[in-house]
Amino acid sequence: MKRIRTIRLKGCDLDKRLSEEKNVSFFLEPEYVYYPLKDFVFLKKIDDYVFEGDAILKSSKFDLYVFSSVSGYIISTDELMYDKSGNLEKFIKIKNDFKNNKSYEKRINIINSKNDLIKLCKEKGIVGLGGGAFPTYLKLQSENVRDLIVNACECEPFLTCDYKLILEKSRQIIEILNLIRTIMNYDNIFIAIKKNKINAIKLLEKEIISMNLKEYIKIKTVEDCYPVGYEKYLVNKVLNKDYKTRPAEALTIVLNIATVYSIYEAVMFNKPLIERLVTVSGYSIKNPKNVYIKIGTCFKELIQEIDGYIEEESANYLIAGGAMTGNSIKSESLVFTPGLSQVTVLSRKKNEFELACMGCGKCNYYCPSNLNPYLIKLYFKDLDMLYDLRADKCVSCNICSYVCPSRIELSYFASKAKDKIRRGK
Amino acid sequence: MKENNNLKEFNIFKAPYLRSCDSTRNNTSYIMKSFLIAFVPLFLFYWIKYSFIPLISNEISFSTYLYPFVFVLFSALFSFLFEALYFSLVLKEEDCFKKSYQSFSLIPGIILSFVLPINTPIWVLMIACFFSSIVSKMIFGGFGYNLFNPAMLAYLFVMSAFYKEISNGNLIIDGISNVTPLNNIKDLLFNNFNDNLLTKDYLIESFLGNNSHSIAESSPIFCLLILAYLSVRSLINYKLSIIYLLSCFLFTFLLPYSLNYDNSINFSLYSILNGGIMFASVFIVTEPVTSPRNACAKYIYVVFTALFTVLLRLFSDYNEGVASAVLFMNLFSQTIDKITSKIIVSDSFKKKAIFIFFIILIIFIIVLYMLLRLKELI
Repeated sequence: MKRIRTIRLKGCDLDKRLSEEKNVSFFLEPEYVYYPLKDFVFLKKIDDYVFEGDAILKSSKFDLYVFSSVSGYIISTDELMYDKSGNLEKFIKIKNDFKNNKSYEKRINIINSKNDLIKLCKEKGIVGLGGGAFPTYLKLQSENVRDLIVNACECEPFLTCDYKLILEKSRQIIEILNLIRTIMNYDNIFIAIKKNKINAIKLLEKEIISMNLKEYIKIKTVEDCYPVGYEKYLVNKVLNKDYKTRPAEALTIVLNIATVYSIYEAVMFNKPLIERLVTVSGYSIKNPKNVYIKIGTCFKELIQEIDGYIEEESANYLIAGGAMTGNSIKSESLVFTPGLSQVTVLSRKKNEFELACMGCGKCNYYCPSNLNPYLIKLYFKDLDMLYDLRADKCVSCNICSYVCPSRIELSYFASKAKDKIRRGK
Repeated sequence: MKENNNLKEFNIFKAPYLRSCDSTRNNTSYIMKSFLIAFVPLFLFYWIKYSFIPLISNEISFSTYLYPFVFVLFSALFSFLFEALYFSLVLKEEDCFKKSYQSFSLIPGIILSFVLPINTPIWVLMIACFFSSIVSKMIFGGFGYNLFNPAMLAYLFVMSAFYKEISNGNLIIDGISNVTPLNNIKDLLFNNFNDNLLTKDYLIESFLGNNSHSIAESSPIFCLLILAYLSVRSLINYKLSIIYLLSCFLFTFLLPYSLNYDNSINFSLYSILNGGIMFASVFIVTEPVTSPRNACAKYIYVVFTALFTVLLRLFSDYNEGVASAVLFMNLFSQTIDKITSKIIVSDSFKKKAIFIFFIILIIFIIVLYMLLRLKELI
């Protein structure tokens, strides 16, 4: 079994402190909301009126719906906005009428069996909120799963939304975890959290003890390093097991803690996935904090709501995601999709030197998939060679570019090579 | 289709935003500059022992006292100027001195002055610098693209082309034999010649440093100190150095031992404490540019370098081991890198097993060959 090496990021304590100490605020009344059309089938028509909670899109890959998070008219279907990977895509635009007409009623769903829970997750459109946006019902469907790992690691710099969620909703999280455990018949539930998040650990432990669940729900602490939030690392660290493609091979599933809370809302309030907690932080944000938003909100509206940038000129880098895996976005028209948990705005002086590779081998040393990014970059045009070098195993953690002392854009080429192999040309 | 206007525009960069090389300590230029500091202790040891102490006891003149310093300085200067010349004449760069500095031209120059015998005439040194900077580095594309270790290639070149000039030397520093102790190594093993070299006292003496032939070979203990310094600063991978030393030790120990040679442990200690192995383990074998990139391939590279060092030392008529072994393995480093990178990521267990078997087989064959040759000779 290969040990996945981790690295302590520079100044990650300071980064997190920006938004950690501030209260969570709410921004639930955006003027417009946007939904991506890529990989989805549009169910309504333009100028249709939709209620909050109406299904407007159906995924073309999975049996999954996307719900409108506001009530109002669909005013456009070809709005060009940025998604979290930095591409300009077509989006649906819905104008909010601020009437909050809901299509679902607030009630408690009775869950009696495994199928009930899976059906509910499917109906309520619950996807992984950690970043992958992988449908949760597919994860719950896996057979023979013995353990559930709840990922609350937040290994990205500046990211604190999972931590804040635990501080606010620790009781609800433990409650729903207990429900999931009894319904799905799991042996153990592990909550993986960084060991410096002492407040959150204490709070969770208190709730676990008060509900007498000490035998079943355990807290596993991990180092304050990168990439500890990576699934393979967590399964390796928590269960000491290895797997190739899916954690289900190691008889476990990994859910983000925000996903777990969205399951709670679906069960207790019958609420589809229309809201989430996001971190808006960075040294160029005047008031960095965690905001509870409607999914589909545009970043431009949110940034005006939370007082904007420190200096308009110095804020010159917008990152959808964290400073490690996040993508650079060209303009403010960035849409919060379920997979986007944070936005970072930073400034930097131009520092774009690139020297020749001196062969230190750090990229290979730290790569969680054991790839050789230097060779992938060197043989980027040779598809057969890329197959042999297994560029498809790249997990886009960007650690190779981070450690490179010569500032070579290794991860850029590795991710491109992965796409190249996926497309087959 | 329409796009929203009057939005704030942002700059684009390639992910990730955070880079460890943005700090002053973790980038390539800082690492290479830190190597310059590592040369100082060894040089100071040599200078003090073979120049300063004789100066105090009035054995040598002041100009002779300065000679080792001048030797190193000239070598560094020549390398720097040759690269600057290449940048300005061939590549038509404007800032040729800055470019030369940025391609770390000083380091091969300094290594060259360390490994060449101190009595090498300056004009030979100049040719060596030309060879290391231009022929073995710049023609390949400069820093990061050279196939062979520049200093080693130039060293081998001048040692074979100007052997007579180097061994006669200008004898500026008196009392320095130009015969390296390694000439004895075959005699020690094959003819039981001069057994007092294998005594404990002599080994301790050579561990502390008793070879005035060249700066690199002068003191194993200072090499170890530099190794400790470089590993604490994590500028080199100390495991590579240790594995290199251990394999050299093991091969030179086990081969005579299996043939019932009495003094095999002293013999192996003698052979790693004398000659360039100690210096090479710190500066040459761990040199990153010419070694494979893959972490696993680096180990294979180092073990094979050790194997060939021992092979050449024991059986070559030519008085040279480390440099040839390093250059020989440089030739294969990219191939090893490619093969190992493919094998490590491949899912098939069979491929990995075959690869490991193959590596062990090659080592076994070479060891077997050495064993048979030794049996003949002893």
